[in-house]
Amino acid sequence: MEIFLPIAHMDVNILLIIGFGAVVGLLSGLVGVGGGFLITPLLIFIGVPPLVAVATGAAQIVGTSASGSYAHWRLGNVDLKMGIILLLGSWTGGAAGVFLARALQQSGQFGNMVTFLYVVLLGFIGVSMLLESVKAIRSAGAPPRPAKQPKGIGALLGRLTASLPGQMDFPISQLRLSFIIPLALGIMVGVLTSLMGVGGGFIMVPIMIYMLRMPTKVVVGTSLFQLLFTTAVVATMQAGINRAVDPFLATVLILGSAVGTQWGTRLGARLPAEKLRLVLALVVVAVAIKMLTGILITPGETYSMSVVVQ
Amino acid sequence: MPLLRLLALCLAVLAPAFAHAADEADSLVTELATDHVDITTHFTGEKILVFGAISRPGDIVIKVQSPTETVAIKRKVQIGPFWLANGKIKVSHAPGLLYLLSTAPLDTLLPADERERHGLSLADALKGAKTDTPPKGMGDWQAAFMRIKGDEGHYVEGQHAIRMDSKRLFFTSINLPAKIPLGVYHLQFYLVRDGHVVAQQTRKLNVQQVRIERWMSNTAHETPWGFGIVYTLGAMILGLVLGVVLRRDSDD
Repeated sequence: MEIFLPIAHMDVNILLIIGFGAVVGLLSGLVGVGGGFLITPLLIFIGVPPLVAVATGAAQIVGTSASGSYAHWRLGNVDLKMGIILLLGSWTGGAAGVFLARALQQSGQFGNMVTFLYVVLLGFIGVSMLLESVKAIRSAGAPPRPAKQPKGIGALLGRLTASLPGQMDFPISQLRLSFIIPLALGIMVGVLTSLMGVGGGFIMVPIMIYMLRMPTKVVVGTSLFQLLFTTAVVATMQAGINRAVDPFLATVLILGSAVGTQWGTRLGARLPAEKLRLVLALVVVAVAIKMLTGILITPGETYSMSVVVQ
Repeated sequence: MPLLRLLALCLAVLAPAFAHAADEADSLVTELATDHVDITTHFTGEKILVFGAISRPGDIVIKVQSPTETVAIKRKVQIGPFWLANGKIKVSHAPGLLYLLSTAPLDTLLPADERERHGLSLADALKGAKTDTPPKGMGDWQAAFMRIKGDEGHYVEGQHAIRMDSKRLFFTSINLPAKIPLGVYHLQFYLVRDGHVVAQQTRKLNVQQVRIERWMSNTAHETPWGFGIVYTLGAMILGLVLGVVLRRDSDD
């Protein structure tokens, strides 16, 4: 069943797009990650222009994170103070990213940038998840080791952050921290949202848990809150400035992933977590390899053409 | 094709009427099966029947031309082990779609100067095109443009695409692919005899997006901020509703 996408200017099979949404939703339900970093590459693989894929990816995350954000908000898992500082950062970074995307698009380099960011990021995340989950499966049953005390670089970073100006209390997260840290973290995530169409949870969550040592419950709530309002602003700007959000594509993806997430959550309760993480790691590595081979293989046609909408 | 046979019959009846008057002048009667093409979300291309009658034997050439459009041509080059986009050129004022259909190869029908005068060559498409200075190494972008347009089914030369019947009637079909430029297409019909164009006629074909597709595409391009805000809020609400509905389902 083919449908014509008004912004991407191409035909796609609607069932394939629902399938993408469902698979990514399934993975996110199983493992608890956003999955934006899989949607964008999948869309690019089927020929959606990179900028449209990235912008539509952001719009899709708005839809898929709304319900979860609201649930965590009601449970009081959102550190609003932290969330707002993160948002100030990510809105700034996101806006800068949208303009950077436009400049790259005009010079014809946006596709290259997206490919490189994805190969590096997915390669890194995939390999580290792979190593971690193999280790976890091997040591399954052994008593959990106590958390390592920060040493070396960790301790140095700790001293550095403590010496930054603008220290303030975050009672819900139970920590005292310079506002510069969440602001900088927000800026970085905002840029990634604009350039890659991801929510950035996969960066935000580990940093909050392992570096800032926030309680896990608050981390999930706060990062979802941040992610929802970052992608909302970035999606609006991508539509406003780059005219790159495809409404049909995003809506079909939201529907597909909502159903997929439900299956994933139910299935996830019955499957061992380490093995699930191994599956996700393999998927991530496979996508990175596919993207890499895309630029390594000699193309049959070195020229490409696209219609410029005035 | 019963429709085609019916039309053939009608024209066959009409044709002798022309023959009487045709001693002094050539006449050319043309018809399209439709004057518009609606692009919906499930548009996968369309075949448009074109037919007509001539008063005295001759050859027929049809030029189908869409409005011009602006395209960006990018080239990939090998940098180290990687194939990367490097170099981009914008080409405007070239027709988005150009078909040249005829009863016989054009170079056997008309001499070069006559073909040039009527723009009856695919290569002429780039004559009126405007572009910035080609970046280094993109000197061959014209060839790439023609090649890609050909592969996409946008520039087509059908040397025997028009079928003559009893030397008076002609038929052909215009096979539009799924992805085509929008706007009013011009169909120029030429009656050719002894190396000259002896009669001409123009018809129009309106290719338009319909209903929600057009509305959506227009809104997104004309009021991008309004569209962005409304769509983003809509996505948020859709997400909340789906969350509630699906959770209720799974509780049962």
